[in-house]
Amino acid sequence: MPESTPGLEVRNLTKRFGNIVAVNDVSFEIASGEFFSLLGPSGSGKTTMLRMIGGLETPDAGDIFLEGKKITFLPPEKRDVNIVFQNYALFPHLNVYDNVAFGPRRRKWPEDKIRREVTALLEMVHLSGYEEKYPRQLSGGEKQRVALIRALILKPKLLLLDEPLGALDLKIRQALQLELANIQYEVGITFIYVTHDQSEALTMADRIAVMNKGRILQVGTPKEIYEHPVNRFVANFIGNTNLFEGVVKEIAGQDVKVDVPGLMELWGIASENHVAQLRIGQRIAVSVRPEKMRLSRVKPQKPGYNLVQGVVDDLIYLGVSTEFLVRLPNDQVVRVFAQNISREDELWSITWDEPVWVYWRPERSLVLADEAPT
Amino acid sequence: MKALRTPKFWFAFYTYAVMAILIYMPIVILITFSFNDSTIMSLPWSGFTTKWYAKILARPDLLKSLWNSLWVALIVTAVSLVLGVLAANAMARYRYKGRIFFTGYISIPFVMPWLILGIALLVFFTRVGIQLSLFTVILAHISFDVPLVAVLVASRLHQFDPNLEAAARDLGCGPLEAFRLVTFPIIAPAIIAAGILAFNWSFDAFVVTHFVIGQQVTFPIWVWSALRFPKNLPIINAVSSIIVVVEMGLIFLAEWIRRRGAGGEEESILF
Repeated sequence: MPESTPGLEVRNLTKRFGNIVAVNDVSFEIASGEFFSLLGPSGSGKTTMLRMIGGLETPDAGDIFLEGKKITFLPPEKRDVNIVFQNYALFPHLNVYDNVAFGPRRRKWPEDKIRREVTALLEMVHLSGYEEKYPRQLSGGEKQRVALIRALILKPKLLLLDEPLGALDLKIRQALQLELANIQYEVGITFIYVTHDQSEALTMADRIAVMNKGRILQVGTPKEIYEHPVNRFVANFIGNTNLFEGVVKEIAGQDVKVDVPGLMELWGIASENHVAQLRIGQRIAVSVRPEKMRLSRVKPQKPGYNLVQGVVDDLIYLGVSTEFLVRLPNDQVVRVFAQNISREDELWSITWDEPVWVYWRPERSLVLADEAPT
Repeated sequence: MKALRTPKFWFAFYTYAVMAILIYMPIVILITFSFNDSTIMSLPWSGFTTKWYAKILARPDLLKSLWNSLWVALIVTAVSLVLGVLAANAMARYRYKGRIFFTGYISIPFVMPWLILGIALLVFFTRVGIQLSLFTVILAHISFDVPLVAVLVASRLHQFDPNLEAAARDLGCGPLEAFRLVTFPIIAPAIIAAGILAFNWSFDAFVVTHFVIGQQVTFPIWVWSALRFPKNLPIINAVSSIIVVVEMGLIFLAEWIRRRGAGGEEESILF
């Protein structure tokens, strides 16, 4: 990825609607050609963010730079940015061909060039022969693909996609996720993909920005975000996690000893930034992913591991793995994933109401801040 | 076909039959007797004639009233379209204080008896001191046609996805071009349909017109006064037949345009 001028830079962007701060002092950079995802629950400000980059909303403060050029207040028609809208926004009075040709005609492309490009793009998304159809005659997935090439045909420097697969059912969504990722790779255009679906973001994006309440909490690759969430919200929003609420007892380097009242004392690690802000006696949460925990019938002889006994409340056989819900002495239920590797495995026969030990390595438990550490 | 003869089929059949008799029979009778060679509208049939149609042209008072109704309706329609589309825009796209009063005004012609509306307008015009004439008729008709247009256009605008305009901007249109190329073509059928209905409402208006017209004559007023003389009856039949056919044609046209514009997604209440 080129590191010189970022494809897009957003600096201290803020947008208010009445008393509500939809986007609150947000800054980030995206490299050219990157597949970037804005991920957050509804109302987190991600769509407003997208509309400001597309020029459909005017920011109250801050700036937007596209390849180094300031575009903060440029009207949408003057920006080298195109949008794929949430509900496709295909023009109902125009057929597929005229929908896709809409942008090029505004730019006064010669009609034979338009025909060539439209035909090629329709072929790319497997819609050859659909030229004369009207949007109402298309299925959701077909509308989505038309909306995509209508925005792509102008070869923008940046393509904004607002939950483009949100309205489709699972099978089509998964197929289109792959198709979109391939198309992005082929055309090499920078994508910003807004979604509330964490698995979609993890599947497709090079990097993800997790948003909540108008702020970006964390930016990173899917792996970074999953393995090293910076705070409680990110840990909870991306994948499943078990949270232990407790108090800091001891700090040794990045290792933190946490007292979980009525349950156990456990060791976890905090990020470098975070550990500097931690104080003895502070209330914090510790996150442990279900697949990082292990189960055993007999007390495991693993010195240094975090260890607690519980009772199997429920178990869900998922083929590849089994999900155990273990009730701990403080009545908290933790989720533990175990791979179904072998039938001789001692886990194979564990069943309801059996006492089991849950254990994990200290570095698998992350000490989390409520807010992102600064 | 046998499978269709369920209770549901018969219910639909009777409903349709009642509607056809109640609504279409009087019209059929009207048109039939306009070709009857007699001044009395009763059987037995006295022979086929088109002379009543010819006599329409020989009645300058009738022609004058038709002309008055026509240009009044045209002016009313034009003004109501402009004001009604603006009102529809306000209704469908914005939230504002006092919206309830606006909605109240819009619903007046649909809930208030024409008689009350006519009296209210009469009192208003005389109090303010405006001479009753075709001008006051125009004002009165506008007062009930604007809500009609507003309701019809607003229902279309309400379904209009604002992202369509945003998409047009995004693909290179300025604000006016976006309206011209996207918004207008999509709502145009509703505007045309509303215009046709507004024209009909004005052309047909009798009750309200009767109160505010003063010494002038529009077509419904002419029919009302001509009815006092039985010898006029066949001519009224003839001219009414023409109007019924033209107006029904216009209504079906309006509904057809409206439905076509909705891309077949909007249910019709007419057919």
